[in-house]
Amino acid sequence: MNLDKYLPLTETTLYILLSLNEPGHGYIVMQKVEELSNGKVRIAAGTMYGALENLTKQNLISILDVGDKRRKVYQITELGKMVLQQETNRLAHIVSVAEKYGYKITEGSDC
Amino acid sequence: MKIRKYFMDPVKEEKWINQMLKEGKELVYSTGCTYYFIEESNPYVIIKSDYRYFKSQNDFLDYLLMFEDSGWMHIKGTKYSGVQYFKKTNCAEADDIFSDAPSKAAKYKRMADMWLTLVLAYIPITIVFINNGYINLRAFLYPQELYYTPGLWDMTGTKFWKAFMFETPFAVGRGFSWLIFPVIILFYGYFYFKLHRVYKRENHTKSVI
Repeated sequence: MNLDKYLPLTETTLYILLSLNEPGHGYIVMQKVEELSNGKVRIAAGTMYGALENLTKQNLISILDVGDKRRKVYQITELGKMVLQQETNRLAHIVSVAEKYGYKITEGSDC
Repeated sequence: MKIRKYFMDPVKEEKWINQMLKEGKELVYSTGCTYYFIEESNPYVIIKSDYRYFKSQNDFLDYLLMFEDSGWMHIKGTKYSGVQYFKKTNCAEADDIFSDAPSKAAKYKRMADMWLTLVLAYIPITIVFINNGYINLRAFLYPQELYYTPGLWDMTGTKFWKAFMFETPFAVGRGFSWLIFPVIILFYGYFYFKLHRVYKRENHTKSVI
């Protein structure tokens, strides 16, 4: 399967997909993204609603039929996991190339 | 304070609500064309708008709860209204309901698309009218043919004016009622292009994230 059409992921999408390795509703994802990005990425409610809607349409995440009946609970799909894996490889390659040129991952990096 | 006002253009509505806020009048709640304000607003208040329709009540509730969870109180809008207004009263939360330029711009795209749907819905109706010969261009050249009163044009004085004025609404109906569809299409199309331009402009501003 060619996953290239999904790549590269935006920073927002990347963090949302990572967060949804565990199921959660919109506000949980907002908090999780902020935490995972060390407070760097803060997604506002309207943006998050649209992002979850788009990712669901693209079948990268799906709505779970459990838990809170009033809030939709999302989780990453198999396709989402494959895309995330591909993106991890892509980013790792960029990092390895950068390291060849002498750029090291520095201590206390904020992202 | 209660104000009744009607907005065709949601961008103008948003400008007005925020202008009122600057003057210290804070929108508390609104249904349709009725707006309720309080006159001494909290200086931290921020009012933002979104534009969405919902397929089900559950979808709408899920949407409202996500905003409520993150500190935005819903003050205007229903499942089908499109326009949704939120108010933030807690200074600790984010200042906007959108955190990047593409999602902010997408709101205007949803507004524009609503008008486009209406334009597209009226086009087949207009084509049916054209095909059935309802479009009467001759009426522009010979409007007198639209009057059916026998001997109307031979009458004089008050008698003529009375008969003429009486029949005019019917004549206009006969000759020009088809015009309503092209006029609606142009009118809705105007809103579509206007909002689409706002969308293009917003989408070109640099992304925040």
